[in-house]
Amino acid sequence: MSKNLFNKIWDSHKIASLNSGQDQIFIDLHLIHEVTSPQAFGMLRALGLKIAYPQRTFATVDHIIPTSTLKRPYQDSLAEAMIVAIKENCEEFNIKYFSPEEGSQGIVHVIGPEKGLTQPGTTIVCGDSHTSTHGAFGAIAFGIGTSQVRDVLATQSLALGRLKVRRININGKLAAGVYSKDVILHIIRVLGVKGGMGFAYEYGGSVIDAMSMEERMTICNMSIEGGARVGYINPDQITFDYLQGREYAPAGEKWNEAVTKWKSLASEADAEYDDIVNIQAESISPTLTWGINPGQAMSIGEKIPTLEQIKEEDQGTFEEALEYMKLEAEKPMVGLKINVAFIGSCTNGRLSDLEEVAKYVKGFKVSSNVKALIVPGSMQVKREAESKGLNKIFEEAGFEWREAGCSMCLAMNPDKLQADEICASSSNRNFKGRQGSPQGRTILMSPVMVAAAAIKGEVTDARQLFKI
Amino acid sequence: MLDNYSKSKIVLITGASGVIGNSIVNLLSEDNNLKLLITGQNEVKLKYLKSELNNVLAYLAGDLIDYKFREKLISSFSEEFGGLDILINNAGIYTWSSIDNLQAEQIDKTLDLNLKAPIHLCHLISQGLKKKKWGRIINIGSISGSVGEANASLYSASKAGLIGLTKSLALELAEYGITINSISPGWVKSPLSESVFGDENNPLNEKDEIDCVPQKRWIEPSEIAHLVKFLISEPACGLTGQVINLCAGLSLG
Repeated sequence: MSKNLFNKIWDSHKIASLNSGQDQIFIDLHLIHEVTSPQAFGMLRALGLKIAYPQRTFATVDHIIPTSTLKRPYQDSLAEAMIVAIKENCEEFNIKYFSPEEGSQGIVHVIGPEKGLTQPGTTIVCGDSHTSTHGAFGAIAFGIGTSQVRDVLATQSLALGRLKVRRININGKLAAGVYSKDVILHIIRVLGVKGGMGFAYEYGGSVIDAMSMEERMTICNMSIEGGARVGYINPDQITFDYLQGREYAPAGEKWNEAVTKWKSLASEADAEYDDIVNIQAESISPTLTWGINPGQAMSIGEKIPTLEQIKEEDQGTFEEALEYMKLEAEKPMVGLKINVAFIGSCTNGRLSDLEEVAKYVKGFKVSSNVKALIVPGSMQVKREAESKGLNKIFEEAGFEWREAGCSMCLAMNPDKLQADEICASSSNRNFKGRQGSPQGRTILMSPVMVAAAAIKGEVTDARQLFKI
Repeated sequence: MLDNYSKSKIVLITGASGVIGNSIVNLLSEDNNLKLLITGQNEVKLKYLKSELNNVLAYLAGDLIDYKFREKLISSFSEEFGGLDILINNAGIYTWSSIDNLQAEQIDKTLDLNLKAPIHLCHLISQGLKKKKWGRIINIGSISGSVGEANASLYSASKAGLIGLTKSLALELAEYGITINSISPGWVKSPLSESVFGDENNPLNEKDEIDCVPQKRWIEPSEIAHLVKFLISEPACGLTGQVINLCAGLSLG
């Protein structure tokens, strides 16, 4: 039995074993954004500390920045103050900042990969729980709290307990109209929202092998929604092809050296795991949530389950979920009227997500009862989409086309649901009030399913509407 | 066996945007039976906690020094969520100063936040808890309140006051199924303690201080969170009026 990728990276990044039983782990890459960093900088200043390796930290703004306009000052004075603060902090501490001033901002988990910062075999942290996204490249990537942001700035290391590793094989072939978002929603539904606690998830199998990097990022992004702080995929030729030529990727001779090293890190066929789960691709249909956590999900063709049909561990929130969502057991989700449609976020705001949506919405119109937004994950995604004319297709169909940011995924900015509006959303969390209104309701699904719901004005099977 | 909560409970946590408060909010949010309301001074941090964590129902940013804010906090949350079940008085400030150098303003501010705010919040929710015949109040104090601390007389006095509040209210509300307890941490790794070591007028340094602790370590914020979780649980119903020193042995002298 050989070591899996997680343990290889862990062992090569271990600085010391601590008396607490934890290990001190070196952090290769630290990404920061405007919301979880200001206090950490404040603490550094109070302690009179410098940043250990400023060249290993990269900053951008995504959470609080409005996406409807780039005009300064922003209407929300708090947003303006935070975006001024991160700029000043980056200048003072000599940190590279992908900024609105230079039009290079975007969601932190979209920017890392597109700049080539996210690389196989590295440890990556960010003060945001969806940092697991970067695991798609064969990295150990996870979210940290503000005091850990401070610790990484000051020491470029963290005290951490080693995780167990669960291999999740998805074999077979996905049917047409079934996307990586459906795969991860299905996995969370099967294993539960707490099933991954204490584990890193290693995703593999023929379905994962065939996926593009952007599809893999969608899978790894939502690992945390299944309780796993870390989710990763072994690096392969698809990974290397994606990275080659990107701004911060190794170049020239260093590229070949890097690829050789990266190849050696992937888990071998005889790698040891703490647990293995097998899922057959043919069992996955377009999947959407009916409840208030991402595990409360069903196939589009199914009916909302009854209390008896769900796992005992999930029964506690069953009635609360139906009451909040104003839904009933044994009813279909198909036909449920929606008010808002949101395509974007660190889960599904990349170019290929937008291209897939554009492919189908051409010639359709968004329902007059629906407010529909498409928010690119980064300014680079925005520019690429515009160069391909996607924005025109979207706008002609009645979608709003925005600047880059987190937007309605978490409603820390002006994009919010009102009262008990229902939103078909390509984002990652459907917690109560997540999208800004204390009564707002979120239904998670793939971008193409969101587009179909926007056009019909109700939850619908995108495969039928778009004849996929 | 006592089940942990027969129905879901509404919890208010003050000082939620600080390190200890943050840790408490993080841990309690994992329990679907607890619905959290949070307050603190850092609005963005509160907003972020609400969007990041399940079971955080609402936040209200403001300064608990202002008694009008306390009234607004309790009345708006009670109106919207039907009254609290659990109050965690966590907000506080540390004032490091010799008695000679104390400023009158500092005295007011420290006592207002560390002592008057918890008393006032208890007052504002006591009738509601009595009606429900169930309640939990946790006061986050400090071992300085019981063993004393040089150059922190003001802070220690405010935290000693919390002990009086805890014991007296525990007696007064015992027959209503309401328990009140206090957690007194020793040195906790937080900006509050680090600001003390970062102060150039302070002769103490971090290493000397840790050498005085029998376990030779800081208390982690999560240790406080775990104790809070137990004290507000159903099985802790017989524990009231107690002051628990969570200090890695520091209070033993």
